[in-house]
Amino acid sequence: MEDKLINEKESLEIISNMIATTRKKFERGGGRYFLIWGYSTLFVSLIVWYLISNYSSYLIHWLWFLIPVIGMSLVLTTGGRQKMNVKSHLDSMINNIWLGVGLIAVITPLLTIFPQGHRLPVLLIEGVVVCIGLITTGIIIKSNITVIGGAFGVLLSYLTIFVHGSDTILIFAAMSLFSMIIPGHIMSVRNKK
Amino acid sequence: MKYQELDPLLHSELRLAIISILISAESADFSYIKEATGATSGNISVQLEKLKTAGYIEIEKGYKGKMPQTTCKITQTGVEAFNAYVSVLKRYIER
Repeated sequence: MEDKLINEKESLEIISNMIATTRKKFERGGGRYFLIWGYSTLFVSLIVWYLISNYSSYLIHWLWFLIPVIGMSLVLTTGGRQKMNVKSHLDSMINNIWLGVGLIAVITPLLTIFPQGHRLPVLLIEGVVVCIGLITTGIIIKSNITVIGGAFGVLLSYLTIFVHGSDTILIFAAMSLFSMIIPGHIMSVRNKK
Repeated sequence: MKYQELDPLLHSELRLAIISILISAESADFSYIKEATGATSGNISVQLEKLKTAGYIEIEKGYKGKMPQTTCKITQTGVEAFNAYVSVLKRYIER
C-alpha cells in the first residue's frame, strides 16, 4: 500500500479488508489458552489422583498449586514468541473475567487451610467457576463450542457431589478434558484452515 | 471536486487502512500494521505521524522484552473522523 488517492469503491474495499484481516487475527490462537490450562489441569489432576489413591498424606493436595505454576509458565513462554500484537476491545473484558476466575481458583483451595474450610467442596466450586468463565468467554467471542464445553463442564462439576473420595478428582480431570482440551483442539484446527 | 467532502487525511490508501485496523482493534503495534498493509516501515511511520498530528491516533513507544515496540491506538477524534468519512462515502455510493 502507498500514500495515494483512491476512489469510493477502493475505500470500501480497504475498510472491509482491513477490518476482516484484523478480526481474523483475533480468532487465531484462541485455542492456545484452552489447551494450556486444560492440559495443565488434566496432568496435575491425574498426578494428585494417583498419589491420593496410593498414599494418604494430606500434603499431596498442595500439588494442586502446580496448575497455576505450569499454566502461567506456558502462557508466558509461548506468548513471548509472538512478535506482532493486536489487541481487540474484547481482550480487556476477557482478561478481567479470567483475572476474577483465577483469583477465586487460587483463594478457594487456600481456605481449606482453616478448619472451617475443610467441608468446602473445592473441586465443585473450582469446576463451576472455571466453566462459568468459559461460558462467558464463549458468548463474548461467539464460540459455540466454548459455550457447550463450559456447560458440559458445569454438569460434570455437579457430578462431584454424587461421587466420594479420590474419584471426584477423576471427574474434575474429565471436566478439563471436555470443557477446555477438546474445544481448544477444535478451535486450533479451525484456525489452521 | 468529487471528493471535496471526504476527509483528505483519511482519503489515502495507507492512512485509511491504518485507521480501519485501529477502528476494529483496541490497539495494534507497528509490526502488525506493517504485515496487514504490506507497506514499507518508512511509509507507515510518515502516515502514522500525520494521523497523530491530526489527533486521530495516539502512539506509545515502549519495549516488549528487549525489543522496541510502537503501539497505536485510535482516539475519540479519530473515531468521529472515521464515522464521518464512512457517512460521506455512503452518500457517494447511494447516488
